[in-house]
Amino acid sequence: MSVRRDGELIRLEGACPVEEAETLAALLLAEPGLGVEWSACTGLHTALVQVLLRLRPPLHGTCGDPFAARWLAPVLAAPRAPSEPG
Amino acid sequence: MTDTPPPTPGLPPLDDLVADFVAEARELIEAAAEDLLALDAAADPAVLNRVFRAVHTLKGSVALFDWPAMLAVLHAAEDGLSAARAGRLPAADLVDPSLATLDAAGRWTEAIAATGRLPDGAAAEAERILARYRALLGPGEDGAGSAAPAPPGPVPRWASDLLAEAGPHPDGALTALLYVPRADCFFAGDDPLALVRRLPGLVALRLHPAAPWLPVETLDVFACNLAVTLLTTDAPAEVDAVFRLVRDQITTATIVPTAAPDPDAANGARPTRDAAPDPGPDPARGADADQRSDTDQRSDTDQRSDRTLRVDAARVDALVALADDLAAARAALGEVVARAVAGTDLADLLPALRAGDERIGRLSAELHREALGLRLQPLARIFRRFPRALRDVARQLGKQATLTLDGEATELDRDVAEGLFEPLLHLVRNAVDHGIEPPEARRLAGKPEAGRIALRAEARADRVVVSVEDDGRGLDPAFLRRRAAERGLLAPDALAALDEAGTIDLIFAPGFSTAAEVGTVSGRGVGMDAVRAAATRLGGTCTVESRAGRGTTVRLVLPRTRTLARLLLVGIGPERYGLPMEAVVELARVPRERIQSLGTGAATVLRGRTVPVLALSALLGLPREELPRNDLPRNDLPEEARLAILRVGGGDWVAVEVDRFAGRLDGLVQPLPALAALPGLAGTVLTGDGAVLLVLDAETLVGGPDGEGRA
Repeated sequence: MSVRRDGELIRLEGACPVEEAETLAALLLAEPGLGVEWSACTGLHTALVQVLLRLRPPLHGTCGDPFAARWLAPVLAAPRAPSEPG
Repeated sequence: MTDTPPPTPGLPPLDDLVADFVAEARELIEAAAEDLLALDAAADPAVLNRVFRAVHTLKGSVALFDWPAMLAVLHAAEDGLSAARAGRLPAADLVDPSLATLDAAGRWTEAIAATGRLPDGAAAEAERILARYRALLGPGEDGAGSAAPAPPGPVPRWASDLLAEAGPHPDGALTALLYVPRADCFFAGDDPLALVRRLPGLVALRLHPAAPWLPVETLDVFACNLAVTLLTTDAPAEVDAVFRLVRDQITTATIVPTAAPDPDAANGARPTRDAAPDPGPDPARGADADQRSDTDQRSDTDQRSDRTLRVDAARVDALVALADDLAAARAALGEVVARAVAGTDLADLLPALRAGDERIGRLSAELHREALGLRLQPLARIFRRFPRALRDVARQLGKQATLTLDGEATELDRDVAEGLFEPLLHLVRNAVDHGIEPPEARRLAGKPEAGRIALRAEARADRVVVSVEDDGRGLDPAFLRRRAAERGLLAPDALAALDEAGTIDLIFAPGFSTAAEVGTVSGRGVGMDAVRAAATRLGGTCTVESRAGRGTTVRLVLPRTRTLARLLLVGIGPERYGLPMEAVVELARVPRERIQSLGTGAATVLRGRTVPVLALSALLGLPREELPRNDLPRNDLPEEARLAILRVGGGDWVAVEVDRFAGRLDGLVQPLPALAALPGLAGTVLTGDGAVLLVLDAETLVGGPDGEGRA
């Protein structure tokens, strides 16, 4: 299982394929305050990155995928552009 | 990816496929040649894009056959045009070799039309054309390498922010890339950031929404709305190699490092291609839009053919004849009007008016049917892409599978047909990946080593049933329950209450990920819920049947077209509903005493058949007693039952009792996507006075696959 709810966190674990985008979005939309813990994540499909970019949950930990940690984390942590609706 | 497919034994080019190809190729070549001439006069990026698309589409179609010389030349031409789009080559330089390519392709197409194969000497001519491209593009095998170093150009606007962010980079030239993946790219199995990951020299990366985000309530996680901009130290040729399968979605530029980028210069720069993010296909079309896949077996036919439509000449003739008849009918009506003006008594004119009305009504319905027929296309155009797709998938997975196609001649509205490719591809991939067992397991199970997958289409009244059937291991209800429980898709008691069909249906539940066992093939797609969503978008339904150890069949039931239906209007209380005439066998008034109660239902005998009698009000769940029935005697039911006898399913008769028959209506039935899940409803129709009527679907109303009446 690669996307699961764990208390106040949603954990991304292992390689998260495109199918998980739906699960991730559903969990985040159901409870908007939840954070996402991704240190055990070893890779995530663009569809999940898009969900994170759109819904901007707080990210916890350093992504276990070096590419995501180096390049995606800053993008996802950057302040929302003023044109983006909340 | 192999750009030159090996000959495919067992898949000889079928005559009709060749004929299809020839017709398409002629159009593409003609259009591209015209555009090229325009390009000679002025370098218009839009025109360049059109030529690129035409060549790319043509290449995709050629790849379905075994014509390597033609494929190689078109491939080189595509690379050349791609370089021009990226600004690495002046478009004008490409006009001559491209025209030579099209000229050769045109002659070869005619040879193919005549003989079914490339003419002698095609290979030598191809070599000469390839040499010209090599001279332009630099060395590369078959001109495929677009390794020409890009001339450093001005900094496109989309790259200037990124450059500022990356800071000074004294190490040499940078390549800037703008990549706007198609909205439906996830469905095709693309993972855009996985491509970015393959650039070792990445120095800056940004992600933006390609179009303003939609409100979260309408969030579609499988629609890609990203624009990726990046800078990399990788050379343009290396970048191009990584993104070669999505070349139509990228723009690149080479940037010479400056210590501090001058923003004015950047803002004044012209991008090599229109830098506004390409909005991608119309989101409303969803998965209908064309895409490229890694196996390159697909073409851009879909998108191109939005502009042109190949029509059988006989259909045009029929339309013209109908238009003539309609004009004659109007002339006859004109005479009646003239007589009325001259003072003829209205009563004397009535028969002529009725006749005119009837004739014009019949002709306009026929005209409409013919016009809609223009939109029909045989499914062969979609099906023919599958033998190669299956071969590639099976090879990747080390499985053996044979594909049989059945019903390719079945015609379907072109939008529906084109929207089918993605879901069907997903189903075929699934069948190979999860359905078909490895050869040794099949041997042990007493099955032939090669799995069998059948892709079928069949017309049923105004619907088309398209199915993907495999003879693999089938779905295991116990596993599905376990998975659904793990994923928390249903409460345990709800899960326990599911029957086997309901359990199997779980595979369509959103979030029912098969991530644990995805292979490289089907894991690249999305879940079965996306397949069902695609079917629903097309106005259809998607169901699955499976028997453990015996195989799985997924059925898509789709509307054949937007039809002008002949409707029988029936009344229940104050409301009127439309019943499709084609389902109505006859109308009958039956004395109440001839309707027998049988167990939970009622039946009567008509023409020697026992026919179940169902009340329409009950089928529609209308609270009968609340209707104003003051006009009826106190015993509530009229002495004579008005029955519409419907033919359903395999030809069974069912009588539906209504309060009254309320006339006839010809109308365009609009499907109700939001209500698609409600059995019994086919859509709505607008009446002459602007009212909206619900149109009933005879099949599901009285208990088709989704109905309850007869289960």
